Amino acid sequence: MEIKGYNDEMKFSELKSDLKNLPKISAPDNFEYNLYTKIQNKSFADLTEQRGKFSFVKFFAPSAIVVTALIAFFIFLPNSDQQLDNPLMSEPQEIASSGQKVVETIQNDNTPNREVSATPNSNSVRSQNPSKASPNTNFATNQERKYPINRKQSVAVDEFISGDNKNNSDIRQGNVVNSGTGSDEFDGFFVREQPDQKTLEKYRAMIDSVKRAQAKEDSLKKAKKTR
Amino acid sequence: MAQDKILTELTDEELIKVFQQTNDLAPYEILVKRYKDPLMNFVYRFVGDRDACTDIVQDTMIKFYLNKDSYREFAKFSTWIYTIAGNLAKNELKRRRRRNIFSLDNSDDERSLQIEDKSFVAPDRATDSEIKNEMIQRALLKVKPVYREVVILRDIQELSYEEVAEITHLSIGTVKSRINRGRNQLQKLLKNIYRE
Repeated sequence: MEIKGYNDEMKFSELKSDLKNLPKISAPDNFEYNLYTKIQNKSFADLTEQRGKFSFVKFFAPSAIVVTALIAFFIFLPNSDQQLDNPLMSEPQEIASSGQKVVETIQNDNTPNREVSATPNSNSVRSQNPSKASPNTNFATNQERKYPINRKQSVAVDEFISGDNKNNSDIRQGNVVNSGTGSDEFDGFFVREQPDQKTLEKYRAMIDSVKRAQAKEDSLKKAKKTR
Repeated sequence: MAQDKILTELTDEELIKVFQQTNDLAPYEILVKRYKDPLMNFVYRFVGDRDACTDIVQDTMIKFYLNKDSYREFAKFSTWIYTIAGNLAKNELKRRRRRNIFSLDNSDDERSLQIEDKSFVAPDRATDSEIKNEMIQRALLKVKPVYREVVILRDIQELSYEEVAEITHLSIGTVKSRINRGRNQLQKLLKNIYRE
């Protein structure tokens, strides 16, 4: 049971002889009869078929369709200038409107609150001189509208306590944090300070002096009227 | 009868010349008689299906009948008619391959599996000439068609290298290398039947 070895020259000798000795296949008996019948009946249509000749219509029809489709696409293409809003980039409607509301309420409300906010002083400095706005004012106001913390509504604590807060007309002191829900009820977090007795007396004295001055002014006005 | 006797003594090239000139069927019939069996053998070994083989050889003869004028005298008639038969056989194989690709049942796979099973026939049984011939034919069908064609023409039909080159439109060098590769493939496939 060993495999026959082959050297290079005699490698295929056995295979060749096997192939040579394969039984010869002969045509069936009715081969010629069928062939001549086919020839007589001319039933060889598929063998006489010629390859389709080149025709311009066949060649250009598909390319014409493609070109027409491309032209139609460019003609009826939607206007590219039309900018579509990206919902991720646009400002939410509710927050914007609430921000607007807050601004309106601030403008209407002229009476300062006695409560003190905990925002840094630098913000109050910016809010004191709104007329001297930088070129980026519009951008700044937009930013203020966007975020719940409104810098305009902050106040310098020291200045407020000492009474030097000159620009208190359009600020709502202590209204630092806007909740973003559109309601004005939540005013943020405040630091409550126990007023110093001396400071209170100082304020009372100041108020009394103002009242006295007003009374004097009133009396002078009355005197002028009576004359 | 006398004319027929003379015709049978003519060579293939002379016969086709007469057929071209006279358009008479007698020389054609003689050529059909001469070549039907060699072509059947060649096409059967190449395609492996007797019915398809008969159709292909009939188509070859019809093509010969229809295109007799395209034959040129400088070529051998045998190479010319083998070329026609070979091209038709290749077309048939292509058609079958396409059919197998698109068919759902893919019956060709089953057939190839059967071939695999046959290769595991016991060696003592493999010595039987009928089984051996069957195995050779099955192995032959597994060889690549480009190699199969030249191996059949050279080793089964016993044509010269020059004739094979003319039929396949290849150079003699290419024919020789293809024959060698085909034999190698065939021998690998038939390893089992050469055991003693």
